[in-house]
Amino acid sequence: MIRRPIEPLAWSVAGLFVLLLAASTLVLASFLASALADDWPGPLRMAQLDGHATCLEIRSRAPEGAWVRISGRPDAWFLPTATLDASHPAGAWATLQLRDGRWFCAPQLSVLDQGRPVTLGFSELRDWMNSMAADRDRLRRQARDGQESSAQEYRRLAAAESSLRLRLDGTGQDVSFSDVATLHPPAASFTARLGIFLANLHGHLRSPSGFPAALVGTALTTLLAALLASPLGIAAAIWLSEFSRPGLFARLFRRSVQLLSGIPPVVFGAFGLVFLVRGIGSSLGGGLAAPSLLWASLTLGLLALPTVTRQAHLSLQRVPSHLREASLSCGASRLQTLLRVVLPASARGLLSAVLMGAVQALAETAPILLTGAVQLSGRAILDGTFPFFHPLGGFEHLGSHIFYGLEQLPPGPSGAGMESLACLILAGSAMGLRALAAELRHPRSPQ
Amino acid sequence: MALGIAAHTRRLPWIPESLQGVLRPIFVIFCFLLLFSLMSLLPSWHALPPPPLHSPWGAGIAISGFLAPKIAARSLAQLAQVPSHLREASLSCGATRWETVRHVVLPQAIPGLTLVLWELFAWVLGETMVVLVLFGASARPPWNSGTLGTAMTLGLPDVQAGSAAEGTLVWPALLLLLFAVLAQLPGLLRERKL
Repeated sequence: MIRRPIEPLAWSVAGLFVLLLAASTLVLASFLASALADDWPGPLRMAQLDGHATCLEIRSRAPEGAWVRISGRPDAWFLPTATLDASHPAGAWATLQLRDGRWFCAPQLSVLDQGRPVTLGFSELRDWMNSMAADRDRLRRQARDGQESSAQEYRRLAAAESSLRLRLDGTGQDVSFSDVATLHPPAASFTARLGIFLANLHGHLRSPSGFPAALVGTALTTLLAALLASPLGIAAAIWLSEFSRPGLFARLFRRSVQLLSGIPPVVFGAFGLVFLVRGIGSSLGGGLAAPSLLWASLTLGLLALPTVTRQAHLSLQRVPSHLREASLSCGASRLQTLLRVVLPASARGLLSAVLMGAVQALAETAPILLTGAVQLSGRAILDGTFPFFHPLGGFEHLGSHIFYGLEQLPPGPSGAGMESLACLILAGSAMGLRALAAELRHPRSPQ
Repeated sequence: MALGIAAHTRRLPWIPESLQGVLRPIFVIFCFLLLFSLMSLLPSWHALPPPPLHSPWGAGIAISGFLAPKIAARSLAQLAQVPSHLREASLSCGATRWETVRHVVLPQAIPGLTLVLWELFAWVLGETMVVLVLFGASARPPWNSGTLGTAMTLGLPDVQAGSAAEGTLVWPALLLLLFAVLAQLPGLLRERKL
């Protein structure tokens, strides 16, 4: 009998690896579904909260009550069963959003024209609002073109519109007609829910802080960290590879870079906060004395520095020595050899080193939590006011977004939508940048 | 480490490299979702003791899960240092790839693999975010339920600059730095010897 060679360890681990990949793919898919489901409007109810009738959207139910949120707002809170029982189902009610972002819902809408209620069906009301908006736009255009009669007509229409109010029958509330931003049909049909979903998504993306701010914060910290680490790291690698003489100093330098790359990121964060922000920042004063995007980028730059140096050093060492020798024997100086031969030959590897540094800066959260990342900064880092870029003060980051979001997530099946999306973006960017770095480092040979 | 050995046996060095940095954020949220699904399975979760993941054991499992690719890559690097002529000699004598790894490569690489395990201790000690996400920042007072890193991340931003509390919280950073250096020193000394 022939004894077949078996590789039990190799096969079992390969199986485990396949399982791990499958699980990761499933998790990715659930992230995406969760991100979409989180903003999908749930059933509506009207409840009396603090003496006011409030339109609530039910996210998830439990025996003791339900997690609810005001339609269009991201935060949810728990409502006990007793309060929920006293509320009215509002599944077939119309929803409207004001210009300040508040949402209301009502079974029936009436227009209050000088105190007299005129009840209109939903489609009638929407048609009327659309025709009014079209008239207003037409008159404004004509007034801008210099037609005096149109300007007078526009002013008359605007005055009439500002005196109109919209009454939300059954809730005891009324709102100014000119404050209404959007009107949604009763959220019973799929298309109606899709409309509210898209409006919510648009609201998320337009808000000055929150998810878009976290995206901008992440991109800027990663970019700044890579920009800070690249020149220093590549210069150190060039010195090590091309100009250093074998000896104690060069050996110590190389070992220090190796040691630095093994230090936990949180130590860099503590260094950034205590030494950079509270030490150097406080002595400089002003906005620099507090944690900010600038200090966080500097800390991440220091964190990425050993990686950039090591990778750049490896790519410079991969340049065949006969190229250097040929250049030197032709009479070129060491600097000329570096600029004309070594750097062009290792350009892809150096770019790969910078990308690896950026991946490291992108993936770390602990250092930025210590050096300036906050839950909600309430301000934009990039905006239209001079100097357009505001790196001082707290900022938002996808990593901190995930951390704070998961911390405040209500227990229950309602998914961590935006956190999952943030995780997906972070993982996808890290994967993409790493793959690009690997491709640059080891280019495929042409067939 | 087994993943590293498997990748070495099947000549798949891209496995640990592709796993590194990709699985970490996924793994964190995966553990978190698992935690919540476990909680929702229990009838009244707040009245019962915390589910298994919300404990040092759970955090340990999570840390070991995402450190695995890093260890695999380091193990692979150590296995690659074994001279190739030993491998070739074994294969030319008729041994299979697995037999070569089991009887030739692994015995030669044991010192290097021991160093990887030694480095692992420093990585586990320095891990912060997974523990923080699993335990939550709301559990501030019992810092003993976290790690040195979580104590620093939660405590340092809130303490006054120059206060005694700041000094106390800077000590873990120095301790972690010392551990990291101590964990890497044997590797550096061995590299010099080779």
